[in-house]
Amino acid sequence: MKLHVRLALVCLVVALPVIGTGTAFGDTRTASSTELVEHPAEWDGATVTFEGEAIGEAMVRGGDAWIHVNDDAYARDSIEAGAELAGYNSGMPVHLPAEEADKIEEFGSHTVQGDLVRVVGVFRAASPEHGGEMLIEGSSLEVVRDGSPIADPLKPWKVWLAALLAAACAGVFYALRRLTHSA
Amino acid sequence: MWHGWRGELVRNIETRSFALTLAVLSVAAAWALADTGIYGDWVVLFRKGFYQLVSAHTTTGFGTIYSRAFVTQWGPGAMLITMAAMAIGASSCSTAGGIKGLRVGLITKSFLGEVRRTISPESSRITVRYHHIRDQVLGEPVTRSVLTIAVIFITMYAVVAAAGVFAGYPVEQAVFEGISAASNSGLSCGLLTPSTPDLLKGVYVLAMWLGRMEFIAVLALAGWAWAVVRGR
Repeated sequence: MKLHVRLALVCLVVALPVIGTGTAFGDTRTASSTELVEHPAEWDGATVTFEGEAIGEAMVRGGDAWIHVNDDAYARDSIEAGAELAGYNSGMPVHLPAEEADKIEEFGSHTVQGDLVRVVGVFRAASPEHGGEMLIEGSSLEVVRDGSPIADPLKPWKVWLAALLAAACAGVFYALRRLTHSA
Repeated sequence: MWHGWRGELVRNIETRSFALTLAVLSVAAAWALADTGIYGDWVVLFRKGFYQLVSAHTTTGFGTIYSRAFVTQWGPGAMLITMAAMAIGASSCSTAGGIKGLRVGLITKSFLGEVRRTISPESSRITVRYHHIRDQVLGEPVTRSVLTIAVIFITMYAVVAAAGVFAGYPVEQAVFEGISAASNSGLSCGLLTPSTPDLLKGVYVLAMWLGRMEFIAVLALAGWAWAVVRGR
């Protein structure tokens, strides 16, 4: 075999995985839950990168797991940590291998800011394998930022308001009793 | 049922009415969803469609699809059927909202009675009967009361829907959200968000309250307040 032919073959063998990886990443598009829900038909079957806060818990079923990832205005910071109120919670369910879900250490709740995760997977507008659910069939998960506890100290004005309302309730109860007895 | 009268389940006009409307609307919803082609499998289509429809018809408001999926996946046909289910609602004496199955049943009986009267000889006497706890004759006072509430409900659905349209939302979404609010269903097609105009939110709150009270109590309260103001 001539030298330049050998050289070309070596180049091709070396380049193939790179080309392959490049194509895979090239097809991956970053998506938000709003975009996916608003245009499900356009995204159906597309490989997407989805980033948000892992919330709730991982529901492991055999070798796979279900997680929920919220990408709303509170995905990066909670209200207590300074996030502005901007709409309701929104996110996307992700079905992925259990070992990928195991990477998540903190799931978001009212006391914890969950891990910020980046999921790569295929979006299904109505997955026939999963009862017609709209979801992402994840293949990989990466923890972008670790979760942390949310500090939510008791606010004094709430204590005063509760005391005031309790006193008002007691007043109404007492007035009703007097009215009932006098009638 | 509580006293062991199992026959009531099939004889009661309310359960019959509910079963009939649920069956008809389920078939219609399955047809509309099959037409969209989003759920390729019939089992999946039934699970998704029937669940949402029962939720709408009983006004429990649970959903297994995204709110916006009514618009972006189900489309106007299936939305219209869901609206009909929410508008009718479930059973009287329950926590459900809407016109109620009992009223729909009585209106249908009354309508069929009128048709019979029209086609029967003038000398004939037509009596319409129905079973609700016991056998009863459908008289004019009951028909009038049932029709009054139904007409007020339909008017309120129209007014709340018009409010949504005037606020700039598409007709099908405004009607869906309006009926859902007035029947206290809880389902949403994604129109109602924190950024919805405050005035429209106020209209929905009022509709929810009026629908929950079924108008008569509110009108009686208004009458009492007016009497107090006039000093009588």
